[in-house]
Order: sequence, then C-alpha cells, then structure tokens
Amino acid sequence: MKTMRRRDFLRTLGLGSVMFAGAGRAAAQAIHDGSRIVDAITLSARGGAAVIEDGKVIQPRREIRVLRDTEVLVVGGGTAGVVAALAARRAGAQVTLVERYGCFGGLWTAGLVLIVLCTHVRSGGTHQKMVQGIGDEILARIAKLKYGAINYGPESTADTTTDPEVTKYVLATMLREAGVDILLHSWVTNAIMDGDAIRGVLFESKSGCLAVRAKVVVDASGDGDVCDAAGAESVPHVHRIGLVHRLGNVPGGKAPEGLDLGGATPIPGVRWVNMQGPEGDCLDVETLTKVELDAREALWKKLKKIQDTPGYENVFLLDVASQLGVRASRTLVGTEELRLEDWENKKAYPDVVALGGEYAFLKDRGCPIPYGALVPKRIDNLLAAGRCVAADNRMLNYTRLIAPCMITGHAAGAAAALAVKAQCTPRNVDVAALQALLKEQGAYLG
Amino acid sequence: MTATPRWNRGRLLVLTALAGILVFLPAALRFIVPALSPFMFLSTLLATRVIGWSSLCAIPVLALVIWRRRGFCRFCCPVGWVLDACAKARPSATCSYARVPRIGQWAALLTLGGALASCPLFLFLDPLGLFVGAAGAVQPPFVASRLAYAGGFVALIALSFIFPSLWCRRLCPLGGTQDWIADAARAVTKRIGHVPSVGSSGQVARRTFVGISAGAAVSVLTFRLPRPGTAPLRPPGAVDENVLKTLCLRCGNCVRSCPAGILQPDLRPGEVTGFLAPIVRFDAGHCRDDCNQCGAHCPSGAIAALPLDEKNECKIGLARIERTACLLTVEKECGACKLICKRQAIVETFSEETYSVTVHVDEERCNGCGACVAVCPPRAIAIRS
Repeated sequence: MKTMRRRDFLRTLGLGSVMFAGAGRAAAQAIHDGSRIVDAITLSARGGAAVIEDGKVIQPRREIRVLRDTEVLVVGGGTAGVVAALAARRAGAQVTLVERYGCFGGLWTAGLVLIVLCTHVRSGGTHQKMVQGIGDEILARIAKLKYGAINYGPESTADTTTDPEVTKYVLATMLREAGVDILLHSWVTNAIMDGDAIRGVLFESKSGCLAVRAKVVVDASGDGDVCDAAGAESVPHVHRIGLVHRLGNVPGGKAPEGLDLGGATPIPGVRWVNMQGPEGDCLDVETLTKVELDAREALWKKLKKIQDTPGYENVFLLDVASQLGVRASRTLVGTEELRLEDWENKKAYPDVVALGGEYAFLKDRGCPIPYGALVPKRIDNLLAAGRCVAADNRMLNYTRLIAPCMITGHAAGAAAALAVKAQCTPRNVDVAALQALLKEQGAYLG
Repeated sequence: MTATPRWNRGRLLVLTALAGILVFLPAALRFIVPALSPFMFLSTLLATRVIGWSSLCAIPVLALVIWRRRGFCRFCCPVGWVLDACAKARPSATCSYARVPRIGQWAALLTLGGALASCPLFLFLDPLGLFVGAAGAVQPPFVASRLAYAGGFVALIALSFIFPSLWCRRLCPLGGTQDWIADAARAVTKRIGHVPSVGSSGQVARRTFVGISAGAAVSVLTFRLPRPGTAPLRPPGAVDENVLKTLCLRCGNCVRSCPAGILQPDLRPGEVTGFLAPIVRFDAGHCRDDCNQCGAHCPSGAIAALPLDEKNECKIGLARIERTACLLTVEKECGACKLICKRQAIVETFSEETYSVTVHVDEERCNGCGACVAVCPPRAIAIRS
C-alpha cells in the first residue's frame, strides 16, 4: 500500500477545499493559471538546519551530494575562468565550470570594466599583438557582432572596448559550443581535501550545498577563494574598490572641464565610467556592503552634476555594475612570483606560459608570466588563474587586468588538461609540452 | 731657423698613439688622468675638504714637481705631447713669450683662493680635464651633445697652431701650479736652511698672497651670494649649485657613466657659468636606486662619491603632479606612479566628500629620482628643483 506523504495529504485537502469553494461560484472563470507544484526532491541537500549547542551555532555533520564528477573543474566564470575552461576542453579534458552569477565575464561584463588593456606592445618601435589564441578569438567574435567592440583590429592603436551584453553572449556561446559543462548561480564555498591534494569543491546554490569532484581544480575565482579553502598559502591585499556605471544619451564632443564622462563604448551615446573608490579589504562583507551603498550614492551625485551641466541635461544612468570593482584581494603564494624588479631586470623564466602586452609601468616590451606563478607551493591538483595568480603588490596591478587574465587562464586551463592526460599533479606537468600545447592553441609566447 | 716641415715619423707616431688613447681610454683612466693633476688636487682639496683615494694619484706627481720643476709637463702631460707635436708641425720660428705675464700661475692662484671659499674659479681650465673630456666625447657610443666636451681640447690645439707653446709656457694653470709649487718649495727650503730671503722668495709670498686673496674675494662676491631663479636639476650628491659651476671640470665622466642616460651636458644654461655642467633630463629613464656611478666617476668631487643608500637620500628635485591631467583624478585605471615609487613617496588620498582619489607627493620621501615620470601615461609628472 502506498503511504500518504504530507504533500499528498495537503494536495488532497487543497483539492477538496477548492472543490468545496468552487461549488459556491461554479460559473466563475480562472483569472490565471497557478504555479505547477512539484515534489521538492532536493530539500535534503540542505542537510537540516543548524542547531545551537552551548550558545554556539553549529552546522550538523552531513553527507554532501556529489552533483558532478569531472576531470577539470574551473571555479569562476570570469575572463580567466572562461578561457581556462575553453583551453582545457579543447585539449580534450572533461570540464565543468562553476559560476556564481548568471552570466560569464565577471568584472569584464558584470563589473562593466569594458576596456581590454594590455593586449599589445605598441611602444618601443614595435606593434606586436601579445594576446593571441583563445583570448583573441573571443575578442574577434565579439567584434564581429554589431555594436560588439570598438578599437579592435590590426589597425587600431587604442585599447579594445567591448559591449558587456555581446561579451556575455559570446562567452556563453563559445562555452556551449566547446561542450563545457556549466553550473550557474553556484557559489563555491569550500574545498574537498585529501591531505594536501584537492579533490573538488563544495558550492552553495538554490539546491543547497553540493559537491563537484574533479581531478584538477582551476581557481579563477579572482579572490583566490579555492586556494584559501584548500589551505594554499596566499597574501591578502587592500586596494581601491570601485563601482562602474554606464551613462546613456551622452552627447558627443569634448566634455567640459571637470566633468567625468568616462570612456566610449560600442553603443553610440553610451559611455562607461570607471570609479577609483576607497581602499578596503575586499574579503570583508561589511566593507563590501558599505562601499556598494556609498558608491551608488556617490554616483547619483555625480550624475546630478552632469545633468546640471548645460547640454548634458538628458544624460541618464543606464546601469550600475552588478559586481563591485574589486581590484585586489588575495594572491597565491606560488612556486614563482611575478615581481616588478624581475621584469625590470629582464629575468628569464624557463617556464614562460604567457606573455602579456605592455602597460603603463611595463613599457616597450611584453611581460612574461612563468608557470610557477599559477602553481601553489604545497597544495596539489590546484592551479590559480586570473587575478589571484602569484604576483607582488605591484605586479598584481597588471595580472588583474582583462588581457593578462585571458593569458593566465589559457595557461592554467591547458596545464590542467595536460595534468589530467598525464595523470600527474599540475606541478609535475611537462612545461615543454604545455608550451607546445599553448602554441598549438594559438597563444603567443614570444 | 729652417722652414722644413716638422712632420717626422716620431711625431706622427705620437699623434696616432694619442688619437688611439683618446678613443680607447678606459673608464678607469678617464677618472685617474685628471686626478693626477696637482692643480685639481689642491683646488678640490681646499674646496671640498675631502680626501678621496684619487688624491693618492696626485701625491707622487706633487713629489715629482717639487723635485723637478715642471716635471709633470716634461714627462707625463698628454696635452703637452699633443700640443708640442702640433706646434712643431708649423714651419715657423719659435716664438718668445718672455713678455707675456704668467697668466697660468695667476689663474692657479686665483683658483686656489677661490677654492678656499669653495669655488675654484678656473678649475675648468685644467688641461687633463679638457683632455679627458675630449676622450669621452669621441668614444663610442657617440652622442652629439657630448661632443661639446671636446671643445676645450680642440681650442687648445687650434691655439697651439697659432701661438706654439703659448698655452704650456704661460697660460696653463696646471703648469702655473707646478711653477708655484716649485717656487714655494724652494722658498721654504731656503727659509729652513737660513738662507737670507731675498728676491724671488719674497715675490713668491707676495704673489701668493695677492692671488689667493683676490680669488677668495671674487669667489665670495660672485658665487656665495644668493641668486634668484630656479636651479637646474643636478645629479644626486652634487655639491651646492654655485659651487658646482666652478668645481665641475666639464670632463663629462658623469654623463658617460650614467647607465640610465639621464645626465646631459647643459648646453643652454641659465647662466653662462653653468655651461656644460651636468643636468638631469628624465627623457631616457630615471635615476636608478642601484647606481651611484656619476659620483664614483667624478674626479673633482663636484658630485660626491656616496654609498648607494646615502646617494638615494640625495634629492635631485621633487616630483610635481599636475592634478588635472592625472588619470586617477578622472577615475581612469592607473596608479602607476605610486606602485613604481620605491620610496612610497606618492600618496593616494580618498575623499568621502567627492568619492574620488587624488595623488600627491610626500616631499620628505621623494628624492626626485624620476621613476614616476616615464610611467605616467598622460605625462602629468615633472621633477622640479
């Protein structure tokens, strides 16, 4: 005999009462359809509520459901994570990408930082495209779409600026084309460890806490959350936190003195406005809350100033970034570290896996990035990509930018796939083979 | 006197050898050659009151000139060799300069007097300095502006074609110093030996007194007085601006030694006395914190030879940021100056009021090394004295 569950009982009761009520007004039409009631099969994922023991909030011990068992897990669907996932997938690995928001691109799109700095070396008598391969493929596909990008192409001497929505669309399309397994709205919260080796991550979602097991994990979370959870040594940083916004209906021509109208975007009349913002600890939720609130208030004041300027009355606030502009939070302590002195002294790394374009303080030649900057000192099966790679507090102002994130992501993804294929830990990956794979995937290594 | 050309094989050899020396003179010799000059040794000793190891080079020369009057001119002076060879190429009679006053000796005395008040007035006429300047100017890598350092030596050669031997016999302050040293030494030995002091020894004392007092007076009057206007940027460790103008030999050693290429001869100085003195231009780079070469290569001490940490504390100038051009003030991604500055002299301040960042320079910490100048994308930073 089938036992009646509570839901069945309620449903029966509800049905009965509707029928009972309906008897009163039998001729009335349904105004709208109700929602479809389904069985809450995932309710158990939460594992029961926390309890209070001795005045402390205690989370009960429980088993976590493993949602995926994969080869390469990429945490974070920002610039570095997307490129890493594409690189690993194209190298033949099974890839799962976990992203906390509903779109890809991270600070490039949700953060509205639309300018792609450091793709070239243009000074010193050269014009060399440094970001090639997957990163450039993304840019080219964005530029192909209407209102996708400006300043892209071999004749451009300015930095490419892209449209955030086109970028989100292109990134998602490319990931799906490549066959990357995607999990959105999933915020990675912890690591699964086996001694010094990471075996996967836990993430929070609407389905509760779930696990992904993986052979190699790429931490492209920006904040180095996985590195930290896994116990990899890292350096905390305090940097300026901004909040970018876009203005619409901005008239052309030169802006009056003292009026910050930001930079051009692919959409006519729309400009993106950066914000430097206050310095703060980006790993502190209260700081993030305060900056978010203060910055939103501040940019409305700035908008007022613009709208009070003759000729600019019709400028409106198009949107505010849904992600705070976190510049630096945590960097990995790698087996190698990017240091400004080393770049100045032209230090030669034997394990260069990325070669970035020039920047304000890295003039006239590219910036080589060694594989060691992605590899944690102690923890195995883990690689860093993007903003959290090992860099000193000066070089992180380079590695955090979009183009450098593309190339470190590319290197990390390719290395992860190689480690899976060779059944070794990422630190034992054959660097020559990695460099060959990167070149095969179009990367420029000099 | 015969009018036969005097270009014989020996002289040609001497000239060729000298041309070779000019081009291949190693950096160490460019430092040591001027240091041999007792004229420069005495002047810089009085002016800076510092004895460096370079002084050791001048001491044997001092002994030589006391032992043999003008011993250095006869045996060692490379300028003398060149000028001699050039003079003898001229098929004319030897000139007599008996009636020409000993200008060189007066120049030397005035210089030594000036040096007492820190400004050795005619130190730039030291022939070894001119010689080294010429050597540095013609050595590769060739830089057009450095050619100016060869000007003095070229002028001496030109002079020797018109008035053979005039420089060496009457004008050269190094020669004059040697004469004066020899005279003074003889006067002293006579005094010690209780030889009745007559004639020349009395003249020596009087001449010395007059020359040195006049030099000190001129130095005090013209160089010690405060001057209006902004001083040009000088290398780190450079002596006081007014002193530098006279203490600098114009040998160009500092300019050549600078690995960053930021030192240049001042070809258009605000005051003529600053001509060819080294100035700092940040077009090519900045003053590196791992380098103290300019001071180490300065033979006269116009740029003090300092250990690295002390040199890095010397202020070349101060960074000035043009606020309206600064990218951070217009919310653009930057901060390059702050992160390149190894002295944490660039400070960002955030205003809650305007919710924006401004950068300013900590004047205590900034040493004007200019590292921030080149990295500033809108070129909003300049070093000012």
